[in-house]
Amino acid sequence: MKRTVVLFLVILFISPLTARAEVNLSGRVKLFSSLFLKENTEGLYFNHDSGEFAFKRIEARLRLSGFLSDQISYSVRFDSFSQPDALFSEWRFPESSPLGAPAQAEPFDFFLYEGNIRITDFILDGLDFTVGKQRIQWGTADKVNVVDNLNPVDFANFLTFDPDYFAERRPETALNFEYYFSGFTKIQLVWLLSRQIAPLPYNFSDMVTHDLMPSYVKIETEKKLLQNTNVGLRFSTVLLNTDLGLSYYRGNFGLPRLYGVTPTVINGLEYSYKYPQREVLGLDIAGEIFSLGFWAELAYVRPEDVDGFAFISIPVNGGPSLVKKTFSLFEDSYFKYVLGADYTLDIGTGIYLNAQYLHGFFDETDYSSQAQSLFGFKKGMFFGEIENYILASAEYSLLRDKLTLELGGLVELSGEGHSLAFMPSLEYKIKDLVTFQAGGFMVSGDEDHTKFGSFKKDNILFFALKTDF
Amino acid sequence: MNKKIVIICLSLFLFSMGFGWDVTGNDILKKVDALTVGDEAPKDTQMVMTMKIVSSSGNEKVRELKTWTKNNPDQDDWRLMKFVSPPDVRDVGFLTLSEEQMYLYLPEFHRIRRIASHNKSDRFMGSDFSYEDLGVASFQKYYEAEIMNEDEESWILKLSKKPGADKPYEKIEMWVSKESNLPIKMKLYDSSGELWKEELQENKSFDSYWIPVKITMKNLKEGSWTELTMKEIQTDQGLDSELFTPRYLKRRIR
Repeated sequence: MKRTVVLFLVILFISPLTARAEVNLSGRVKLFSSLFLKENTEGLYFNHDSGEFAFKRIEARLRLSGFLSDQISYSVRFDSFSQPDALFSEWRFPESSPLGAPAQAEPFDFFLYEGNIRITDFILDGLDFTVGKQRIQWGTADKVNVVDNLNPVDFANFLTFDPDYFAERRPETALNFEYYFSGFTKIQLVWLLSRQIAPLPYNFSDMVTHDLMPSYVKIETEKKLLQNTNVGLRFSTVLLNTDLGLSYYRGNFGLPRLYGVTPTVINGLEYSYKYPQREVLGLDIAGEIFSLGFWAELAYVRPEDVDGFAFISIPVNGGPSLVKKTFSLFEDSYFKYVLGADYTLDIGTGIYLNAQYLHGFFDETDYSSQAQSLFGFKKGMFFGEIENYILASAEYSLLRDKLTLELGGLVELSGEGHSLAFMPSLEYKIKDLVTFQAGGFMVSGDEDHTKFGSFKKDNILFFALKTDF
Repeated sequence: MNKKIVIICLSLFLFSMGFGWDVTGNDILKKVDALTVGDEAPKDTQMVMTMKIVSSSGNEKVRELKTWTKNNPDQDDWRLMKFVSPPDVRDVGFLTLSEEQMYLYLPEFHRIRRIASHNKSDRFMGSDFSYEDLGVASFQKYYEAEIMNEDEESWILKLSKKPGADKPYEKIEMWVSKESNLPIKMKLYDSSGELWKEELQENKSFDSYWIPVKITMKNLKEGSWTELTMKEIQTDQGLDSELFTPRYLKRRIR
């Protein structure tokens, strides 16, 4: 019913627009399917047989964009994901819901991915104002932007290993003011009307408590108050032929942080999570030296002072007794950074190389030593300590760019071990606007001390078929 | 006898060096530059381009772009290109301010990406033009020209790459129209001296300028070709410098 209302509203929205102004319609239909190559019965994140489908879904996008006047434009994007298989379990037939909605027999999701209006020269000459759900560029690195805390990483889709969603960020609802002193120098103020919350994978709660059952996850929420909104400020310019940006963000961690563990009689261990606040000062640059492209980002992060707590057992009168211990959850401040470069080797039609050295993945932070020892935070785990990575890819196009071969990879250097994730893929343009893609996600290395190594038994092969219109 | 042979040889040598004509190759190239990127070029242009890409097997793709160019006689020209169609590339933009300052706008990610000059030899959106072919830099800066021949319609120049010039074409044979003083044909040779591409250019008198209205680039190694047709051409509109900035690069097009 809810979806019907949304669809009705979409049609209602489109009709007057098409009558009054030009509307550009575009979109995509994509089938993504992946298979596990090995059996994994004790996986940290996935349990499966060899040859079992990991994901099989159809994605459809519809974008409407256009102008209401010379200075006012709009863009709306709806996304839909559909799982073509009916839900079949030991206790449920693939029946539709009582009202005949097909969502259970053929589950699908439909939502507003993006919807914004942009007004150029708003109030003042040189002031552009974008309001609504939008992606905001913040930084210069290739995907792994450590200074970008405005658009949370889509952690749910990250674990599909669909290359289109690798470290992909989600649009947020914001008021975005960009004032241009000149075409290259601007100051940008972004007011985000809510906290930035990254989408988490299905069954995330089970994942975080997997090893200590029975357990219970409690998430601290806050009221939707004016003071609980986030803000970003960025100054950017070009200096000595180098793009330069300085930024400030005050907001929350996009991923939940464990700050307390309480033993309870009813629930067993109760894990307390929250989305703490932080301030981030950022510096980003991009340019070229001797035709080698380069970029760098540095983020100085100051998390709020969060009191973590845990109950520890101490001997009292010869017997054990639980005592609540509180401590600072985070270090006072810490750095994250990324350095990257790209170059095209003049071999054949040209081999494009791209490499980045990353200190601090999007989910990592610097915990206090007490939090590390009591909660087990360490390098080599999701939501763990900051570690280092090398991300690299080589791309080669053949047949007049109809066929593109890419060997992507990631080396995780956790300190206690390392892992290597290979992401080879090929993309073939069957026709103009129709693309076939196939590839894999294969991991080797230390299974126990690296986060990507933990996917060692979850190697997948995938293929995708995309049609744009 | 020996004296005669010496005189004949000297005459041939001088002739081959360009002393046989009133002008030199570099003079003609200077004129070409003046008309395309120099003092005598339109101060700015605005046009719609249709790009037809035809593969060796005959498959055809068509793209439409809007382009704006601003002439800067003392430095590299600025060019902004925005794709209008097909839908998967609509609003993709490319801004060239110099060979060392290029930006690509990807609307899907709302992201402006700085493009380093190592990409300049890459194909432009799958066509037979490289980013550099569509650039707006002076020939004189990178090539020495000498006259190879002439016919009724054109001068035929041989352009040799200057030492240290970072250009993909080692040698260019250029047919320059005597009427428009613009190139009408070019043969482009790769670094090994092999003939790589052939470019044909149709120019038309427009306002007080000669403007290319159709450029066909043939990739002779691959058997493919791309045709650029220009329409809705406007010149000297007084385009604001602000148009050639990242702000406008990411602006949606009407």
